[in-house]
Amino acid sequence: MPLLKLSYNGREYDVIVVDAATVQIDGQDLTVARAHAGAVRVGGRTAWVARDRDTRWVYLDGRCYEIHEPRRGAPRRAAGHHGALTSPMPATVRRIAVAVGDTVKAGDALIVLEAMKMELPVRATHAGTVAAITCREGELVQPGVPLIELDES
Amino acid sequence: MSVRRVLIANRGEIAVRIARACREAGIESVAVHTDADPQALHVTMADRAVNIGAANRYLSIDALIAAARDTGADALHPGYGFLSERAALAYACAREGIVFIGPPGDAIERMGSKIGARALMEAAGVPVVPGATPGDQSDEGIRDAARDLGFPVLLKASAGGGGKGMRIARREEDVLELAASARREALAAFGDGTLYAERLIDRPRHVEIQILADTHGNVVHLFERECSIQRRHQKIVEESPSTALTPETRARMGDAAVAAARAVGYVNAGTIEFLLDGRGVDARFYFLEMNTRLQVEHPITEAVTGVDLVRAQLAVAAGEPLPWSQGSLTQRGHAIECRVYAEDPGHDFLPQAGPLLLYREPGGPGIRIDSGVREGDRVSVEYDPLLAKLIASGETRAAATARAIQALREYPVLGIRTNIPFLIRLLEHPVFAAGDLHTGVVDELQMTLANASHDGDVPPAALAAAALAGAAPAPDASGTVSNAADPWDTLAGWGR
Repeated sequence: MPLLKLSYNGREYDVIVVDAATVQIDGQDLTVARAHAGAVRVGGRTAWVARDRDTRWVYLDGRCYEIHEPRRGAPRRAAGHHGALTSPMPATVRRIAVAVGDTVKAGDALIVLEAMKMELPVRATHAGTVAAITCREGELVQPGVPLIELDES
Repeated sequence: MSVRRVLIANRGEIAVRIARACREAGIESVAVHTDADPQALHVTMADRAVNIGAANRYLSIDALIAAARDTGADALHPGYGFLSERAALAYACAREGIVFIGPPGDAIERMGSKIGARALMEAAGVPVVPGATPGDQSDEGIRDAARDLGFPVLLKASAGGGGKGMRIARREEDVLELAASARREALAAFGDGTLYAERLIDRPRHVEIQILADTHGNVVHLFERECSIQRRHQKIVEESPSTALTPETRARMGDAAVAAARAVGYVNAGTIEFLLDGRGVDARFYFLEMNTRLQVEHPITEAVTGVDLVRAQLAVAAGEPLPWSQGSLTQRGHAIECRVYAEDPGHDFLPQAGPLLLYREPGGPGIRIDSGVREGDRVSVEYDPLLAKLIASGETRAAATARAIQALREYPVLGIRTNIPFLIRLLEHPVFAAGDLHTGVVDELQMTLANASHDGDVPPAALAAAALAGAAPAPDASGTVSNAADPWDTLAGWGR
């Protein structure tokens, strides 16, 4: 039986797909059934589902869940490089305030991003030295992609 | 004056709304788009579309006027936001012989100046927040002025803002000391210690009145909308009627709004915003500002009055007289609007961008969705994160609330984070049910509401559903993400 490892809020769950109508979680059998494209009946309830790479989105009972599939061996999206800082959302790089080799303090604004008319500073999470800058001013960047790397001082 | 072809100088849900109204009225519509949103929903809803260039060109008067001229449009609807409250756009239209579907430029200008508008409203007998720059600027003079205004009183620097020199005096005996320190701070910050004293409205409500004026001198109001549920001046949930108004206060606010509109020579749809102090028979209202355009929340007025405001806007622009008298307009039932934003309530409401992998709108009696997106669209970082508005109406406030909650629970938006779970928590909250609202209520409740939306555990049913989520959908030829995958495909892929 296919075993699926899924994680939510940092906790991992073993999900066993027993057959087309049964999914087992923590030893508990849940009855699943087809509703229509994008929708699943679980027990007596409807859940809507969609999948984007390693994220499975579920809408159930007025709550939205982003459930991840941990990829063994592959780096996690938000922490691909040691000390790398990323954008929380697609954004334009408005300004790069530091250069490689600069010493920075925790909390220093290193890069200013702009999205939806809001400026979002990317701040140093710890004191250190700028090891690399991997974006350009004016560039449109995606979430999770490293923008700047800091070595710890 | 005739209106046969309207250029819609906007995007998103409001452009879709206007395009529909045009089609119903037998008027052609022209959409504009930029390099950033050529496939947006509003583009396909209009009869034709013009690319006006770079992403920020919705803010270019020249580009919009050129688009109107090139397509032979005889009128322009500005929607809300962007250039809708810029007198220069109204003037530019007038110069080109294009009907601006909104007020005359000089009315926009008069209401655009805070100080000028306040003076005009006072002259027209519209209540404004009591305040004055006391002639006697001594500590005692400030105290006497504060006593005349009534406590609590806000003291602030006449010369500037930003909270510098601002003090709240709750009792007469505190004023002398507070005035002295406010003056010192104002002097240090602005080089001018002159103080302004204003009655402080504690925990005010935001209640606004919709008005409509034609070119024949008729002005009517279409009752109120309560918009107290807001965050950093961004409204989230609006309703009509307000839980705070008696029929008598409602009538006086309506009269004040009509007087305000007449005072500036207003034409077309507009909204007078008031601060409301207290509720019931003790409520006092004060002019805040006028929005010289159609409001985002106009559908709740349409729901309770039965008036199509955009259709009325088109008729007024074509020179027709208003078909109603004040006495023929009534407010019936209750309507609630929820703004669906692409934003993350769990992370300080940060705007979100990304693909709408799955997007399904709810339906049923009393549910209206005004949206600017559809499944497969990509929400861009370039524009406002408002995706759609859900308007629920029913015979009573409780019925409308129940409908709104149920509809939100049937409104799956997957692929980006939205405030839908937050809206449900908000409508389910006892404070909302009690109608005990003020403009700071969301900030007070924010922590509990935002956390409830995203943290906590995942129920087994959600994991089971996740197990059946289909494979990643492939982008289709147009570059948009195709429909959400069928979970059955996934099972097939597991060699069942």
